[in-house]
Amino acid sequence: MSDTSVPRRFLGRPEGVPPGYVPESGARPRGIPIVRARSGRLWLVQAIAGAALIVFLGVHLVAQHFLVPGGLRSYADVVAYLRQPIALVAEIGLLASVLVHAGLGFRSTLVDVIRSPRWLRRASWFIAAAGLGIFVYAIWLTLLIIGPA
Amino acid sequence: MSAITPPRLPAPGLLRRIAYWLEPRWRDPGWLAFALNRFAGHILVLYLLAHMVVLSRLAAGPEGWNDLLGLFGSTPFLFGDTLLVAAVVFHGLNGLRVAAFTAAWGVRHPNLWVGAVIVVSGLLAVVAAGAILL
Repeated sequence: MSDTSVPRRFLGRPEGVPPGYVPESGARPRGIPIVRARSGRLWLVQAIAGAALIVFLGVHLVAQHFLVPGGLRSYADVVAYLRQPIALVAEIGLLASVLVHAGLGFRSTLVDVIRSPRWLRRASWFIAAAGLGIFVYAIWLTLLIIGPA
Repeated sequence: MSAITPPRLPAPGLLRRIAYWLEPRWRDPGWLAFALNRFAGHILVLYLLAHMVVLSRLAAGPEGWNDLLGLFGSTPFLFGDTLLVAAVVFHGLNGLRVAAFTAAWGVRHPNLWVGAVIVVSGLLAVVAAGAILL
């Protein structure tokens, strides 16, 4: 049932083999170069952002719903929470990792849908611009709320 | 031999390509996990956009915000919250599975791990639904 020749490490799919390929032995097949594509780097960025997201989202949900009985609900609660420097850093980290992870994830869908490289490039720039815009807007909104403290 | 060869290339056209995504023949559990992961990811992107729009009501001051709280405490929104928890938990656990498989952890039993992710996230979603709705 279980194949005993599964590799200890899988360093990337070699060029010229179909998806789902797993090498027979632990060693990378000789003579076939590993693909070091830009999409692979973006995937790594997305994975790192996803790992950060698990931490930040956990902190966010616990802080919003479990730290105070009944959760942070009223306007005053939210503002008081955001005025703490640690909470502010955690929320901004959550915002940044969410935008990176979601933007790259949405782009990966577009990679499957859009065939024209030019339009894919335009869509990627649009996603990057939208993410940056949301980031700046959210920072501005936060500073507006917590006010001239 | 674990090589999976797709029988043919997807037919051209946007609708045909989307239909190809949903084609269940010659699929494996990993495909199901991928499809659910992508679906949940899109739901979460939509939720994040809605979250941003809702939070912009904070700019209107305490009155504008506190009026919304009653709406979000209503039953349809709490039901949506449980679905959101299910999407988040599945997406997170499946992301951990994908990262582990990339490091070749657990690749001996891929279908077992896919099943574990689906079952565990389903159970956690049921627990969250109980905590939120009851």
